[in-house]
Amino acid sequence: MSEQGIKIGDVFDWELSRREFLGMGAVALGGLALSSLPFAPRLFSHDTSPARGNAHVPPVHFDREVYTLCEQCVWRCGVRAKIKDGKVYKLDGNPYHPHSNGMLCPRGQAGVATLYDPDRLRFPMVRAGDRGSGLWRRVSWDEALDYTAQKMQAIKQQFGAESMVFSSTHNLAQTQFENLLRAFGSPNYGTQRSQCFNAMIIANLMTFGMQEPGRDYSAAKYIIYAGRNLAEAISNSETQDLVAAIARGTKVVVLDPRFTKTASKAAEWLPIRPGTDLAFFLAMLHVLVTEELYDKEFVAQYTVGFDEMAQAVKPYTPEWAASKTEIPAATIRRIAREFALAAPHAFVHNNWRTSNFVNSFQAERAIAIINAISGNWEQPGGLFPDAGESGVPLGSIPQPPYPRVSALRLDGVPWKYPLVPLDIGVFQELRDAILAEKPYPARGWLIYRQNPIASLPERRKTLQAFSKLDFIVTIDTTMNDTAWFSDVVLPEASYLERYDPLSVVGDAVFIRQPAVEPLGESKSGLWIFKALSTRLGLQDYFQYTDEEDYLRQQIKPLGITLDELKTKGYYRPPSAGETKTGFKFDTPSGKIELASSSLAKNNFPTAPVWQEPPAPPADQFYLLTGKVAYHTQCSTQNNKLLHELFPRNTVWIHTQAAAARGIRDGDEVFVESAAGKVKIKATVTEGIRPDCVYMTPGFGHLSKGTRVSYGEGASDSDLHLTYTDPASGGQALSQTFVKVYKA
Amino acid sequence: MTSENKKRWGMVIETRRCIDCKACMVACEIENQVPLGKHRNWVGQIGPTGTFPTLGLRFEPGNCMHCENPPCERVCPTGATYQREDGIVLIDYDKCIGCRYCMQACPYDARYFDQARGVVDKCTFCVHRLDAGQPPACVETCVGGARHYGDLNDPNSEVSKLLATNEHTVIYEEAGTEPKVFYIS
Amino acid sequence: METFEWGILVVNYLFLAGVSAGAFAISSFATYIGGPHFRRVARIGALIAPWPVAVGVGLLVLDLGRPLAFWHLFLTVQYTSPMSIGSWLLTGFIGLSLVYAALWVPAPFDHLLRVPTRVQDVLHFTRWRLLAPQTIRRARAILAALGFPLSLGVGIYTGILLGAVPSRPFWNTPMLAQLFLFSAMSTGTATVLLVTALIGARHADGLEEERRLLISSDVVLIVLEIFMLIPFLLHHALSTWSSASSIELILGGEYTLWFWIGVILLGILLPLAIEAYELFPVILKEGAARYSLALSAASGVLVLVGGFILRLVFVYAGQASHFLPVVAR
Repeated sequence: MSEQGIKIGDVFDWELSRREFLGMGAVALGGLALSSLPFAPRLFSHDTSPARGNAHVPPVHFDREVYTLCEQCVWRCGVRAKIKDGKVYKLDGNPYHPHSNGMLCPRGQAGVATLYDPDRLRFPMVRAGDRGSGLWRRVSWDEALDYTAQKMQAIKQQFGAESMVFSSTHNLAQTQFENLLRAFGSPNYGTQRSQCFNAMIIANLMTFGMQEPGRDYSAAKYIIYAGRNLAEAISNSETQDLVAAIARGTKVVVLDPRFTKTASKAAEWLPIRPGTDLAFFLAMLHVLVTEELYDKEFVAQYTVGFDEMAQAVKPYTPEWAASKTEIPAATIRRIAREFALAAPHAFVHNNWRTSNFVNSFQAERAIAIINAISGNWEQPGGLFPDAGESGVPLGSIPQPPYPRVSALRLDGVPWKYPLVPLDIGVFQELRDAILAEKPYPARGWLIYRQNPIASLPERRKTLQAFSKLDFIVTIDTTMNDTAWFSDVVLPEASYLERYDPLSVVGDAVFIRQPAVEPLGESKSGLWIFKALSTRLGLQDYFQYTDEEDYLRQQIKPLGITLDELKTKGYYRPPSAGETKTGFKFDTPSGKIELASSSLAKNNFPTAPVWQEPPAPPADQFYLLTGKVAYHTQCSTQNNKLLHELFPRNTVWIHTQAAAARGIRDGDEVFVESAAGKVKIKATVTEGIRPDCVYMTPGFGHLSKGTRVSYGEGASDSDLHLTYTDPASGGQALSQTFVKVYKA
Repeated sequence: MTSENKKRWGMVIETRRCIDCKACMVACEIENQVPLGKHRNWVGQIGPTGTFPTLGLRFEPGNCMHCENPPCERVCPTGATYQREDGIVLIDYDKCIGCRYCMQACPYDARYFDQARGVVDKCTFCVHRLDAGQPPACVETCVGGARHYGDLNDPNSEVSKLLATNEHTVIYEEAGTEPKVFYIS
Repeated sequence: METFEWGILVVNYLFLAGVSAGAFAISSFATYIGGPHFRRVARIGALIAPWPVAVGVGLLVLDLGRPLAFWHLFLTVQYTSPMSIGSWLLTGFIGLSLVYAALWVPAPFDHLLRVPTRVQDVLHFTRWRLLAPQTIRRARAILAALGFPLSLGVGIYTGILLGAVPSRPFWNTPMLAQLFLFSAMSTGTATVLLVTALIGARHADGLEEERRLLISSDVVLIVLEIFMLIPFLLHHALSTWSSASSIELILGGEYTLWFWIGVILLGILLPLAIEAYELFPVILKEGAARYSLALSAASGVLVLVGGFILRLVFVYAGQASHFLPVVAR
């Protein structure tokens, strides 16, 4: 091989033999043919099939579709559970349920993750180590129930039935829970209401004689909220109504120290100083009364006590209120006038969480009175009587009369809190009484679908109260914080796996029925109460064989079969014609009481009065708490879909307040109150008053049995101090003041 | 297939009605078995803007825009991404090799990589529900009533009427993608 | 750095493909200049060319979500997809460069260059005959001619692939294709230069002519790169909001140091200085270039490091860029 260089010309100096030429040609043609293969099918295809490729197409046809009720919050929307291969594939809103109208909020949608939460309780357990050690012994239902009944009976015999405390948060099986405790003979019944809306309920009871009137959004032209954050504290249908109203042009005014999502949708957001809603509404009343912007005819015909009330609000001028609320007097006056102009197609929302300040009760009274004198009762866009649970007459199970109870209730109802209904109670007082062992010690606590360790203020006090008790049994679906510190844990089937007593909404009755078989050995509340009652000798109070038998007894007056109800999910009895005789308010006078005689009788101010709220020292903040759309109080933090959207809380702090403390967005800080101290990340924002900080409640779980939520975020319950309004028994959660500093 | 019968699916989103509840996100994740941590749709947050007490806050839900001129389809090297006659952009998972070029090309970050299956995935407009005459899961559950869907070619559809009577925009119009998700504020 | 969909495997591939493209290009160029000196450059380039890109393609396939499904790429040609065009290009290039490399096996091994005479003899290797030198030379020439556009294609298409994505404003410029091409040529040349210098250090004949060609080529390519980068930066900065904002990533943002130190200083300025120093006597026509293994190795390695960091910065900064405004989710 010579090392001669190749010249460019060489390339062209080339003779082809015929064979070489034919060979090259064949190769070229063959190559061309092969290379055109890729072009052929792709170029001219016009595929219209729904989806090509591997079968990851979600199902549209299901084995079964079951109508039932959600339980992710108290709104209890109707859901349609779509079942495939024995598992719930998806939950859609039930279009026939007035609380959902076919839509579900994020928590409702995430119900599938609640149902299949790996941390769900599967079988009864008895504590095998110290309380809170996480050591449990699996037992059979027989053993668990026998043990529970035996402990409860022992307490009854030794210390009296009243030493056994029963508590539960509002739920569909509540009637049978109350049945159990009344049959047992204990007066001590705790609900979560005083953490939330005692002030609102009792103010409405004093004024209208009902716990909460309904509101007509469809024709409302003007709505005022004081903190009700419907965009985040979602009550499905009411939230839908609000958004639709705003889209229609309804003017919405929001009073809130924080720029909530509801505030962002409002026409006007007033960053009112915490504790001074009362001043705003007193001034509004003052304007309405002094400028005679109220419905005189309505007041004359349907109310009592106007003059007394008018006299009471005389001193509360908008100028006076401006100094309290930090809202200009002109604004207050203008809003009062705008409201009056829109009346009667206008309402002031009575809000829900009214456990803010001791004076919240007076604020709620003022709100009720404003609505009353505007004449919006039973007017389009106003308030109307809510039938509540009595809209449809249901059958009840036969039972003997309850044993007489002579013991005082530990929560001070009614001997300390004369106005609070027995089925509402003052929960924090109950806890404090257990702790103080006054007026007598409690020995046992049965908790159903409730988490007092997480929800009551001053968590450490609740834990101390636990230590005073011989026996604590919790019935729940997961090992939440309260279950974690109990002696016996009984697994309830989740809401998608059980029957519950029927739910009456408006003029129809709705069923909760199992969509799938219960997980493990979990059982419905109805089953658990009956089984427990048998062992307590109280079976006469639980005369149903099983859940379906209970429901059949309930629907007996309606003349339908259980299968009919199960298929459709609801039943609306034909209306018995318009037999509405003149509506009477369930008050002593039979009318709306602007000055309340019940309040007078119990030595409370008859008309709303100003009560100066406490304020934090200069270097401290009001601690605000409030919901987010993705979680329900303290119960959904372990749901992995909701956890992914909102895994932990942070503390909101105003830009200036943060800068003054060297805190930047995302920094770890300490939030400290007289009750305790927590470490949490800061969110620096313009959307809050500089004298306030905000935390989403319900985080900082202690239970290692809820693995997703364990240790996530911080607990507001570690910070909140306990203050109770003597009139309504409501908590005053915003009266806790905190220091915030860099960690 | 006459031109009168040709559907062209689209969405209209009224941002003033969105309360950022994210029910649409949860519904989609469950309906379409989306892997945890990945999303086919989202709710964007604009704000809070301004200084206390004059503040603004808006929400902008979104999902795959099912563009008329989809950049994802353009760049797909195997032809896995394709557009149906009715305008919905879909993925043929048999052909997808998981190169993720389409993820780079999408201005809306609408696509995600499904680690377990090794393919890219995204909103399909709940095409399985559309073909059965049902609304997409996100539209059905929207508590604020912000999401609307329908046939853009039908002048009587909800979306056509909304577009005809309201000023509307699309996101990143300058990208030239011609999205079929329209925004009314 | 953030984690993005396209990560270090893609960066590696881009770099390796560029090296192969450049090595082939310089080899093919040398084939045409002719002469014994450039034959050695041609040989070294040819032998290097197939391997980096083959490894790179292997990495790319591994990076796929479904590596075993890669053959779907070859069932179609998607004209609008630079990736589809690229996969065909790469296949053609690798195939051709393998055959080309075979034709350039060094003397001790050239007895392996045999072909069957008749179809019947395909399986009887002993009856395969040696290729005639003339045939080998012609084949080299033809493949060099056919492969040259392929190598430019491989060098440029990755820039087109990234540049064709408007949603990544950092990439979305016509300049990107050219920039990647010249960087590819430069890294390929630098690789050949490195190998040549290493061989020259052990040979009696220092391969100085070859190194002069390579160093001169590399200088030209680096200068051309600079004239790609300047308009790249200016264009972005003076363009739309999204574009101008994206260039901030290397003008004060998180990739600034990587770019100015890694790409500009190490990959461009220092090698340029070294190579200019080496060529000074030639430029001033005062004598032979200053050859030294240390200098050649240094400039070669620096160009390679700079080329790698260029790909790194572009892949990451590109994915960090976005149409504006970006709405938080």
